[in-house]
Amino acid sequence: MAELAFERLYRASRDDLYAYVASLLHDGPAAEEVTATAFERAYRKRRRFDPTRGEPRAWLFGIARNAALDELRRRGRQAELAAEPADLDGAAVETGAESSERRLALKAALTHLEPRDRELIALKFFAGLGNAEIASVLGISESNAGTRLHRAVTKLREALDGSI
Amino acid sequence: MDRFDDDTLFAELRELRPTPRPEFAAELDARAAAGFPRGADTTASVVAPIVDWWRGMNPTRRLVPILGVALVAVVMATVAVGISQSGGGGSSLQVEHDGRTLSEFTPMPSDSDRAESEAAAGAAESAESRAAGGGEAAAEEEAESSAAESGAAIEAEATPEAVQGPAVESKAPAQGGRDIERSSYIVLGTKPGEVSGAAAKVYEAVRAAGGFVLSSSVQSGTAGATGASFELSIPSAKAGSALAAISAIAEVRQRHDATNDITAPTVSAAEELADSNAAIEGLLKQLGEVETEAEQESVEARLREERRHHASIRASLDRLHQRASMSEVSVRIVTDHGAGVTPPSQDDGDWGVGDALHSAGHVLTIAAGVVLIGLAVLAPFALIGLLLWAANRFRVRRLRERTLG
Repeated sequence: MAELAFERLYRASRDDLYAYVASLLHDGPAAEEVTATAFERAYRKRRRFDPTRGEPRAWLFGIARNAALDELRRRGRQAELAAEPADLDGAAVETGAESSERRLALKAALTHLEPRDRELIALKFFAGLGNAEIASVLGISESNAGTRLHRAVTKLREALDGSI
Repeated sequence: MDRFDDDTLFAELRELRPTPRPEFAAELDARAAAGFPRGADTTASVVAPIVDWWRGMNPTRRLVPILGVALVAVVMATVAVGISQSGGGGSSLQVEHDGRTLSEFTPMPSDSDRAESEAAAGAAESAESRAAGGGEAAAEEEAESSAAESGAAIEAEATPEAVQGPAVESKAPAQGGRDIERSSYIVLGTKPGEVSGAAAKVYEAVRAAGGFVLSSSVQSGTAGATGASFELSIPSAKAGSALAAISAIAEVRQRHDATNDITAPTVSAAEELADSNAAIEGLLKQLGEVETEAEQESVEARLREERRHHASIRASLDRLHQRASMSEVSVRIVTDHGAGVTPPSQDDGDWGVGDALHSAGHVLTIAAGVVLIGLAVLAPFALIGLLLWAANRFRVRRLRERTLG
C-alpha cells in the first residue's frame, strides 16, 4: 500500500476505528492508546497488505481488533466487557426528553448483549463497516456475518422492548 | 415511549458512537503526518527496525544481503574446515605393497624391544664364536634359543618425515659380525614428464653401488597412470649410500626399512656344514679301511648321501650369506593419483590453472558438504520452530476469542 493510500485510509478511518476500539475497551485513554498502536502497526505493515485478500478498512480493523483484544487480555478486563458500557465517550449531546429517554433505554439494552453481539453492533453502526468488511475482520463468511448481525440486532430490540 | 423502528434504531445507535477527543485526534494527525514514529506500540521488539528495513526493500535488492550472508557463511565454513584439517597433522599416505599396505607392517620396535633383540644378537654372536672355535653343541643351542626368544626378525619403519637422510645405518643394529638381512621400500613422487629421468637416475644409483636390477617396469601416460617400479639388489655395505642417492632423486613420499637378523640360521647351517665335513672325512677314512666289497659299497653309499647333504647345506649357507650381503630394495615412482598413493596437499611447487581448478572444486565440495550438514542439523530445529510458531499463533487466536467470551 502506497504512502498516499495509507494516508487516505487513515483520514477515512480514524474516528471509526476509535469508535470501534472504544466500544470494545470502555476506557477512553486505553482506546486512544490502542487506536494509535493499531495505526502504527498498520503503517509498518502497509507494504504487506494484499488487496486480493480484502478491503483496506477490513485489514485495518483486523489489526485494531487484535490490539484491543490483546489489551483486554493483558489487563484481565474480560469481566468489564459484561459491565456497563454506557460511558461512551463523546456521545452526542442529547436533544430532547424523549430522545434522551430512548438513548438511555438503548444504552441499557446494549449492556444486556453479549460481547460478541456488541462487537457486531459496534462494527456495523459505530464504525460503519459493511457486512463483507465485518466478515473479513472477524474471519467468518459474509453470510454468517449478516446472520449474526441480524441476530444481534434482534437481541438488542428484544432487550430494548423489555426495558421499555 | 414509542417502539423503535429499524431506521430510528439504527440512527440512534449511530448517535451513540464514541468520538475521539479533539486533542487526541490532533495528536494522532500529527503522528500520522510524521509517519507514525515508534512509541505507542509498546509490544514492538528490538528487531522491529531491522524487519522494517527488510520489508521496505525492493525484492530484487533483498538478494544482496542474502548473497552476502551466504558468502560469509561459505567462507567461514571453508576456513573452519581448513583449520580443522590443518590441525590433523598432515596428509596420510598409504601405499600398497605386495598386497599389503604399509600400515600392516610391523611397527617400529620400541627401545626395550631393540635392547632385547640386541641382547639376543649378542648372545648368538658369542655362541657363534664359541661354535667356530670348538663346535660345542651347548653354545649352538644357546645361540638358537636366545635368538628364538628375542625374535630374530627386526623391522624398522621410517616415516616420511624421517627419511631425508641415510636412515639404514642409523636405524639398523650394529652389524658387528652378525648376519643382517635388509630390505627397503621407497615411494618417490614426481611429475609425469619426469618419470623417465628419475628411472634413469635409479639405474645410475644402483650401478654406482655395485648392485643390480632384478626387475623393472616403467609405464608412461597421464598423471596417475605414469609410474615405474624397480626390484633392486644392492650390496648391504653400500645400501645406505644407495638409498640416500635414490631418496635424492625425487620427493620421498613413503619409505620403509626392515632388518632381519639371520645370524642364528647361518650359524646353524655353518655348524651343520662342519658336521657334514667331519662326517665325510670320517667316511673317507672308513672307506680306506674296508676289507670286504660289501662294506665298501655300504660306505660309498653313505658317503654319497652325506655329500648330497653337504651340498644342500652349502647351498643354504650360500643363500643365507647372499641374503646378508645383498639388500633388497623396492622402488616405486608415482605421479599424482597413482599407485594407490593419496596425493599430498602440496606437489612439486608448480601451481597452475589445473591446480587452481582442482583446489576450487575441492573447496566447493567441502563447502557444499558443510552446508548440507548444516541444513541437516538445522532442519529439525526449523521444523520444531515452525510448529511452535504455528501453535503459539493458534493459542493467541484462541485466547483473543476467549477474551470476548
